[in-house]
Amino acid sequence: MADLSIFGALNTGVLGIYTHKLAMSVVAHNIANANTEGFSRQRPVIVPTSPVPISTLTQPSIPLQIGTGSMVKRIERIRNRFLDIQFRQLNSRDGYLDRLFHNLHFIEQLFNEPGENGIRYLYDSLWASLEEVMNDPLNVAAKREVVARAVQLTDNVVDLYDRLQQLRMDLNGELEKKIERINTILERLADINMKIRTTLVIRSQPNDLLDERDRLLDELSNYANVSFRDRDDGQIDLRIGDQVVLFGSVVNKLRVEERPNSKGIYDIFVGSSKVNIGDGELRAILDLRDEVIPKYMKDLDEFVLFLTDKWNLIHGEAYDASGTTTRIPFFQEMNAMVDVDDPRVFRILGTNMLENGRMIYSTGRTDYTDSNPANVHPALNGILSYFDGSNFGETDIVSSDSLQDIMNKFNSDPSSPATLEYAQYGSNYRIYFKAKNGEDLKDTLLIDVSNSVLKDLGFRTKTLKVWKMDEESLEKFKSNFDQSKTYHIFGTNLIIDPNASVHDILQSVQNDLNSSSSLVGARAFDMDGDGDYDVLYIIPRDDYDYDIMKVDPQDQDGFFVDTGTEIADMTVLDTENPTLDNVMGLDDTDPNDQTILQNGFDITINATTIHVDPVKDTLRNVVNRINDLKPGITADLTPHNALVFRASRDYNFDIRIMNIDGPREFWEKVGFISETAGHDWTNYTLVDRSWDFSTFKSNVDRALRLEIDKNEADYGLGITYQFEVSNTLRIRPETLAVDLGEAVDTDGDWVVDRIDPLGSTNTDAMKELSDSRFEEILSNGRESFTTFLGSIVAELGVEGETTRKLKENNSIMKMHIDNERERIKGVSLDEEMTNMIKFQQAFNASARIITAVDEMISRIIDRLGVVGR
Amino acid sequence: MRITQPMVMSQVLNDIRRVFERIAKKHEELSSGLKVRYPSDDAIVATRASRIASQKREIEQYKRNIDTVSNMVQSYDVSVREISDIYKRIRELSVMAANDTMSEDDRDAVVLELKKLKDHLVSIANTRIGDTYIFGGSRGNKPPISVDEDGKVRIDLTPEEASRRWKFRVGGYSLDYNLTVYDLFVTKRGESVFDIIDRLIENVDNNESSKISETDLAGISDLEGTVSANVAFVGGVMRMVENLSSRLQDLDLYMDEYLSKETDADMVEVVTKLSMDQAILQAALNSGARIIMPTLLDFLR
Repeated sequence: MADLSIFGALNTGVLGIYTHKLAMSVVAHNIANANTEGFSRQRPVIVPTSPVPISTLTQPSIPLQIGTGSMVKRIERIRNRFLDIQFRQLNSRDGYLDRLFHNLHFIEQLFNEPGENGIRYLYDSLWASLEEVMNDPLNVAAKREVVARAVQLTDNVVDLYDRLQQLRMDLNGELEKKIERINTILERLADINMKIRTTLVIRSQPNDLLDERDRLLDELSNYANVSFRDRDDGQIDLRIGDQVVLFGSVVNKLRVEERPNSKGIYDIFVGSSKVNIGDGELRAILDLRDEVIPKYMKDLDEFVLFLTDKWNLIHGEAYDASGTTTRIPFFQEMNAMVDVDDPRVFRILGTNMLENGRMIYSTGRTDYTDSNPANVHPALNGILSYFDGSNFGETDIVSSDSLQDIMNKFNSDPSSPATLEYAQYGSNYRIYFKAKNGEDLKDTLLIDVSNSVLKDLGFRTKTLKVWKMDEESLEKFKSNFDQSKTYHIFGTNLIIDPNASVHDILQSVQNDLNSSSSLVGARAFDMDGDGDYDVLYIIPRDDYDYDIMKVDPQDQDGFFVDTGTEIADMTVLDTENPTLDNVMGLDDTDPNDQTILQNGFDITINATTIHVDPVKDTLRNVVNRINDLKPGITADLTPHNALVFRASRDYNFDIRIMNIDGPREFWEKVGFISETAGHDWTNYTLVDRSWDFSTFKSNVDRALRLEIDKNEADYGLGITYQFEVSNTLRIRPETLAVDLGEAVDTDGDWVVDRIDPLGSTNTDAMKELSDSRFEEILSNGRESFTTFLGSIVAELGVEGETTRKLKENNSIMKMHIDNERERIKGVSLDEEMTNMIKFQQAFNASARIITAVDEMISRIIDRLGVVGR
Repeated sequence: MRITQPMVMSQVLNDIRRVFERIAKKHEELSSGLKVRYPSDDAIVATRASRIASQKREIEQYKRNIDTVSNMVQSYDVSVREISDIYKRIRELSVMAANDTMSEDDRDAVVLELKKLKDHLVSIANTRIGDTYIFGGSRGNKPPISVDEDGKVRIDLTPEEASRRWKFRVGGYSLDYNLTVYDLFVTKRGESVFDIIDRLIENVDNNESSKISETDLAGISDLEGTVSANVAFVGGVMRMVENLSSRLQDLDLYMDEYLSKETDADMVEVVTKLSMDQAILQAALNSGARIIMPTLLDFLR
């Protein structure tokens, strides 16, 4: 008959003491580590020890389960893994955003906008100095100021650029240090992994080791995005980015390796694989170094490239105030320094300046639908006349005339300088003047005497000021004088007899001026059709460009006063519009040229087709059209009309990676390729992206190129380092070119043969430079210099502001998660106090049990069976 | 819900830190006077501020352009009035001379005065301000008029050079503002005042009073007409300049206002908010002190 021995109860008490002693140690450990970073509180898991089935004296057949006490089964580490993972993700993000924002803030401090000392201010003050030269063209100090301010601008831009580059290199260097630190952490983790494994093998709970490992993982997550996987033996495998760096106790160290051909740019490697880091401080450093800072540096590069080229091309076509020096660049010319055999080509410049050539055609803007001009009746009434500087001609038109009749009448005069033609035009027909062989429409006046013919036929007209002597003014003369008077005027002698008829007076003046005045010619007209002349027009000869401002009549006898001759307006054909049919010298009798005149031609740039109509389009129209369509280049014209193609940033400032096609003749005319005889309208590929540099050079053999380094290993940067005011200008600012002069085309082919200076007070080069402020040639034809600078500020602002706000939000979330973690794993002193009381009381109670049982045992030993003693 | 001491600590610390951040920002606003200092403070406002600052600088320059023109135009104004007076005097003399009743001495006096007036006109024509001859057109560094040994006045400025005008530019707006000798000393039909005076002198000398009244007087009234036209021109330019100047002034003021509204800190608002924040700081510190201290330890025996 078994029974629970009294010693069993003693044992139970002892177990109670042990248990609560242990529990107290845990409490003490928690309290001692209440402020330890990364500490997870521990909790004793107290379980009852296995009960013993005992059959009692009183119930032998039904055994009772008697408990035997308690024990601490294990010490539990209270930690929520999920929250840890959440926290680390947010910590990575925080590391990223924090680093990013601090550097963005530094960058925006470098740019110093909005402010009084930023680049925008310097550019504005350079522009202002140009205006000052225009205000006082003879002032040398004003010119010196332009150069001084340009130097200030270049110095500051290069300095800013350099600082940005410096920042990049500093960040690059930091990568190495951070990698070292990470490797140290990885070593520690490997060590801990091993210890954890060992501890688990001997069935012990490595709580503090686990805490240390978690703390290291937290630290690591700030640097990069980490993820881990549990192994069965309690170790973990760790990934940084997409590469495994920790395999249990084996570390695959990170290392940095220099990128080939770069100036020391590092990539991060594990073994032989490159690591892609997704988040954390490392990612921020990489992003800053490879994307953010280069973006702003490229902005500066674009600004510098376009400013240098635009200013150089304008300045290079102008003379200085003495009229002697020309062709000096304003800024130092940019070159490829390293990739000389395979550079990027930023700009091609046509070698032909196309200005002031022979005007052969002038087309009316009305479209006619009938193929036979005899069927077109414009119902006009008036006089069409011409003056070629020596001879006059006249065509009278009545309302019954058809277009064919008008053409016949005009063309029947063998001394007229031009003919009127009718030709097919697209699906319609057009009427146009064509200068005869060797003639130039610019050198002749086609006069709409009655102001009713040219406009109605659709021609552009302009007003010319001439002298007019008419019936009314002569009537006054006749009433004032009764004897002939002689006047010395216009370099000849005129005798006016008040007793002659108006008709005769006008005719004699006409004949005298035409035969003996070298300054002017004259023509009388019968406007009202009554057979008598009623008006006389006196027009300066072609030597004076038909401009009365250029003629000094030297009226010493009071001719104007007496005869009432006055200045009047006359309508003439406007021959100033340099349409491409003139510029390219198209021949309307040649069938190939005819097709082109009828239908135009196309230029293709990358995927965009630009249609050109040589009858209506000028070179400026073509340039504008290209820029409106934004095909990847911006087109431009120099002040003397040389064509410029510049590559946009979308194509990495490189014309070579584009495809450009167009008719051969066009490229020849603008001077991109060598001239061949005749008009060749076959397609010519100007640029093909598959060509190597020597093929490119031989295909674009005449254009002047601006070449820059490829610098691919360093993201194509470095252009701004060449930004500098040219030496000549710096040493001798009086050579600042101000006068664009006048282009002279001696052979009429529109290719300028020389430029003549106009004079020291002519500052039109300054005007071009000043106006370039507003031209939209940057950002693929969308922004001007001043808006471009504004965009940089905007970009900085948006990026900075967004990062700041994201960072703030992320911080709050991180703190929140950290609190949640704390809530679970943190030591609450109050709780520990309560536990302490609990355990202490239980300990005391167990001790009491022992005392009680001890007394009971004593009674048994000492007093059991002793009766009555 | 479990709350541990570290949680409470970190909460208190964070809250106090955030109040300090706000106070620091307000302080920065007060000491710089700017609400928006960096683009990252407020991208839209900063971009606008940068653009407006640039436009203000443009306006500054246009104002300077106007000042230059204004000076020149004042000189023209003075000169034109002088010329007008001279022409009036010439007319008076001509009318006197056209009257047959003058004696030889009288006529000599008239001739003398005419010669003096002619010299005066030459010197006005060659008026110079700084390095520039104000009537010199595009050949402004050389005198437009010269006198040879016989006293014959020659206009050295060619009509072509005179036709290239001085322009002043404000924004995209360009205005011719200069006058040349051809505008004031040569009639529209091409006679120069010096030739008219020479002829007049000759006629007075030879007592050809009829010629004077027939042609010379007409020539003189022509000149007077030219001058009054140019008085109008100068007046027009001056008014234009004044208008532009005041418009630019207004624009400048408006931009200042706009810029200020966008980027300047409202001092009153900032100071008020600052005091509020200071009160909040006090409260936070106070309550923080209360809750981080007591634990059960204080109360257990």
